[in-house]
Amino acid sequence: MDSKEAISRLLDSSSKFTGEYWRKVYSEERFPEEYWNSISSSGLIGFIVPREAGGLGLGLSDFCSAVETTARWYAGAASYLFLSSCLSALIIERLGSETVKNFLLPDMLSGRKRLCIALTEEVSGLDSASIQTIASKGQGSYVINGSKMFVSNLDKCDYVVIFAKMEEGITAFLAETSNKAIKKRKIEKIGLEFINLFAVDIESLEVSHEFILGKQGEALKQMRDIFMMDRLATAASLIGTGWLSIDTASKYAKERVSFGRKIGSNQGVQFPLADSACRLMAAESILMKACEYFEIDRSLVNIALLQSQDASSASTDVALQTLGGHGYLVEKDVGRYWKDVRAYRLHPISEEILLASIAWQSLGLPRTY
Amino acid sequence: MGIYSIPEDFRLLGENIKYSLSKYDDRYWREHDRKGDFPDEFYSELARNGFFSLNVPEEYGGVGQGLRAVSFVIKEVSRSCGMSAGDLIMATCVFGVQTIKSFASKELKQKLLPELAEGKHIVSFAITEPDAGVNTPEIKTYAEKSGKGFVINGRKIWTTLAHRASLLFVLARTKQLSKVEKKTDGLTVFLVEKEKAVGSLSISRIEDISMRPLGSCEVVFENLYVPEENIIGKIDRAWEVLPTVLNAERISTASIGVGLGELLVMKAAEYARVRKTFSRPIGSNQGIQFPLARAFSQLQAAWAVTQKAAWEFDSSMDCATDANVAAYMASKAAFFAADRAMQTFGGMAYAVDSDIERHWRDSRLLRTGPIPEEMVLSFIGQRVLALPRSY
Repeated sequence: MDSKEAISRLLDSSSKFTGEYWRKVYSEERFPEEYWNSISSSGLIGFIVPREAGGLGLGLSDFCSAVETTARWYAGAASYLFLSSCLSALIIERLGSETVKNFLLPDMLSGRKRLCIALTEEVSGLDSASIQTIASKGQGSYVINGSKMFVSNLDKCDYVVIFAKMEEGITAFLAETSNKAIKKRKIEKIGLEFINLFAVDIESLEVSHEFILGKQGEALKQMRDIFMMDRLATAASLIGTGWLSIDTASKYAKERVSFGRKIGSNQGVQFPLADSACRLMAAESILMKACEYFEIDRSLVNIALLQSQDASSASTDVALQTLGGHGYLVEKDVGRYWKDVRAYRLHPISEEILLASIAWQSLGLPRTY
Repeated sequence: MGIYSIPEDFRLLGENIKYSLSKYDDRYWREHDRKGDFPDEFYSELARNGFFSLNVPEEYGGVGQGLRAVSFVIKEVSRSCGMSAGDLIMATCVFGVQTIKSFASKELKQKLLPELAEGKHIVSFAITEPDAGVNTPEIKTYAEKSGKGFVINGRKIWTTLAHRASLLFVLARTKQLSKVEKKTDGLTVFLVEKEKAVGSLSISRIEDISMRPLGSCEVVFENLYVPEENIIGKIDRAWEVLPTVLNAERISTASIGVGLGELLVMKAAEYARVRKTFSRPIGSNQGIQFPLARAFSQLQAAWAVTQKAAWEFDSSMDCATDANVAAYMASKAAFFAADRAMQTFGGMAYAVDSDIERHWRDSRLLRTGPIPEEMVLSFIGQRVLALPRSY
């Protein structure tokens, strides 16, 4: 399957999931099982997994285009499910032992098994190197103790990747979510209702050697590439959600008549919409450039994510303003986009960390964190 | 090769620019800005280094590159020497070479392209008028058929470099607005070769605040005769010429904006590393460094969309949307960079010798010319978002 075919298959398989569907998912605060089944049964979870491992073997630019496409077609921030599944499959393909790959990868690619990540902790926040969860060597296995925060959809996943500290450094372990040593507690949050968030306590969790992902002590280094891809795919998701907001608001501005004329013919309404469109197009370009340069120049990754945060924040805010009082109605959807997109100025990496890294890496200014 | 890749020979060109133009330093541009003097030595240097042959087709003795290469050079030159330097390259390579190679007769190409490549011409393009502004179809300058040519009467304003140009392109009506079906019909582009001009052409400098080394002029045509072989494109069909020229201009001014913005961010970052208050470099304050990082990021995004537009232009695709987005994003990013440089330099920015105020004045122009922000937003509102026309 080439990229064109894959993207059109993605559109086909998500075509019936429109605003109404997502409104229902959000009001029920649940995992969008139907959407997920539809895209996973179309064979799209292996989008960036190499062909020899059973994936589609497509490139990073195509992947980001796909994410943007499904986000713009009503999924909005929920495109996260597609992008995170693709990246999880890539983690297993790249870092899983032969045993893990053999039993898990085919099931992940077909959508029968799902994986989540437990990295962040209450104290560590974005400073991943400072995590306190510990793995110690037991008899023929490893024993993990500690606690994690912000674990997404743990209740809907079969496996979890747990990052823990060892003498050798930070190591990634694969564990079954049903293991009794993993105690989860749902966290109440605002926005992103398709995700359930959990705090996790891990007490004497035993993991065998072949369930270590990658080399001991090198998890952060070895997953850096995939974290970087996650930033780019997140940027694509934000741009898609930005367009979804602007599409919705433009349609409204063309129809809604107030003081005897269409509100879209007022420059006070039209110019902010056009300004957002310009920002989204520029963010799209720097994102595609960052994908093209991925192997040569990583400094563009943070820049692309920052510009996508900016453009999508502006777009969702302008969309809300365009709809006026209607913007606060659940049935008009833009309020949801606005609330969801806001979270991505904090996650997967905050705006402040991005700015500080750019100042340090690209402008040679003192490091401030 | 991807849309955004910079070919290796461009990189070498970039090095060459830094090396050969380094002697045209801040002091040189500051003096020329103060006096409003044309940078003759700089122009000859560009010619000697072959910059003007970059997009001349090989069959006319040029390097045969497209707008991608030109826009890269404009950005790099602007980054080294500021806005006037970049605009000067645009004048010759875009208004001159691009217009001639795309729309002039074979005879004009044969004569002018090699001369342009050698830097023997300075080029100017006169469109705007006192009563028309950006509403181009309403221009009043009229060219009346007379024997084997046309006689032009009218007035143009804000024509950059008109006083120094040897080649002056002029947009004129060849049919009255009231007599055409579409208001963009009945317009024609003429090339005035100043040396051979018959009739009256009076040009006066406007005392202005941006790009002072180049200068902007008011031009009055009184019975100026132009032979019909100097029609660019077809008679009455300027609208087949202008989109190409204007899109290339927007891509070029976007490149100037990115180059100028980078110059300012780097200048401010350098100052922020060195300047100490409260016993530490001001650049270690996030309040100073974050806005600079933001400006830098905006410039990179603007450059990416500029590269995309230039690639579309060179591939003969419709580049109008991206060219407008590029001009808009680059002008905003450049002015933001200039403003943050002002803030970073603090009181020092008000000293003419710091050069910040000059770049700040220059960068502000990009938000109104060649196309005002409001016109881009209207264009995007209608073309991309299908919103109603608002004016």
